[in-house]
Amino acid sequence: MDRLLLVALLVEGGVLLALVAALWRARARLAQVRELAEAERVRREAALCAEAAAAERERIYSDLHDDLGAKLLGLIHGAASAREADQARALLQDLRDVVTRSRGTPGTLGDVLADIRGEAAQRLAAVGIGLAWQELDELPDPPLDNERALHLHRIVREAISNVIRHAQARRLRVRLRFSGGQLGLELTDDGEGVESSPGRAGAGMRSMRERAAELEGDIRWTPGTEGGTKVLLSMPIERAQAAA
Amino acid sequence: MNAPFSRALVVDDLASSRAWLGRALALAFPGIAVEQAASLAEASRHLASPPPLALIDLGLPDGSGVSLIERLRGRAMCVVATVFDDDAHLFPALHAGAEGYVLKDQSHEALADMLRGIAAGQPPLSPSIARRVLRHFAPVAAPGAAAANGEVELTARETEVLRLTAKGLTRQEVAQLLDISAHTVAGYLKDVYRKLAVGSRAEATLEAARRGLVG
Repeated sequence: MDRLLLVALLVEGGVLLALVAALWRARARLAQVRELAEAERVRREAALCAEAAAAERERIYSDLHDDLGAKLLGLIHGAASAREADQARALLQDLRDVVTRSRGTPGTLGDVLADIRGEAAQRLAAVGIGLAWQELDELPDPPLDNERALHLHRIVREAISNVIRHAQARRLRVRLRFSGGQLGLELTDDGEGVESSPGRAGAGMRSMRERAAELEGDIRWTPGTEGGTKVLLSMPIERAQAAA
Repeated sequence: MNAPFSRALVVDDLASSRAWLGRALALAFPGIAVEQAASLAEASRHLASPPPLALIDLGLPDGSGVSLIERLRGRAMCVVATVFDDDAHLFPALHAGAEGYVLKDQSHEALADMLRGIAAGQPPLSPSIARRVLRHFAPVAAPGAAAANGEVELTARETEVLRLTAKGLTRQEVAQLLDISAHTVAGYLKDVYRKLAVGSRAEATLEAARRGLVG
């Protein structure tokens, strides 16, 4: 009898133990499921947030495109001269930068220089100024983040704006050099030069200096070898990750 | 396509832009009759017998000009007239079959030059778009993946022309480097445009088959 009771107790105990173990496992699974669900919720919320931000960005872009783009286009179409049109066109180019750079895929230094060259050729051709683009050294091609790309774009755009507005130039020479980890960008026009253009030391030049500083670089203006002005920008560039 | 056009359609929601593009068309193709539409809906009224040339803005009030380009493909030469010429804006339109693009903020003279160039098979291609096209045609690692592009691939020469264009070289410089004429370079670019659109057509068919639209 005692043995029977013992067996029964043991069996019951075993069942109880198994039950507790099963319960324990179920609780653990439940906790795991809860954790997964929580992670999924966080992920979904983040995705929704990103989606909302992207949608908001698109809305702002389309506003910019519709309102500002249309107004600038109106200014260009109504401009009295090619040079006046270029001023509005440079503003439109700034707008293009904001709309495209901030969502474009980040590129390399070579990509950015190619775009800068394309834009310069287009603008200068529109006002009858020739462009000579010379790469004197083998340039490295490291990735360039959007912010630095934008600074570089803006500095060259402003320099070209000055050439078009003030210099009475016929030709612009752009030279690129690379030595000692420094990229050298030199823009030389054959126009009237610094002294004869008192309006130059304005907000444009200040902003170019600030942007050069953001690039940890340096910008200088000197009389050009071809009678005009020479703008010299130098900025550090990593040699790492040469182009494939 | 080399013959000067006698009729053209301008689709743009801004009256001043339509007038501007109309003047450029008149300069490029003297005596051309310009039809105008301010929206996709208005443009569809011209589709029964479309003019052989259409200048189309992408951001129209009732939708994207890309859909119009798809409808006109093979029936008219479609040229995108835009304010934003970055690859993200333009690539879908080129993929849909546009045979070139012009920037609306250019002078009449520059626009006329570009339009004549496109009509003569010399489409423009900016460095950023050339880069996008290269990525589009880049061989995918998996074997047989070419089917994703409708088995359309670029030749070695076309790839080389695109690579140099992507670096910002002018057409003349590309020609010099490859020891071919600028005209031949333009021909390669034209072929690239054509292949882009062919790929798009193949993808559309594939997509239709997936959805059970095509038996």
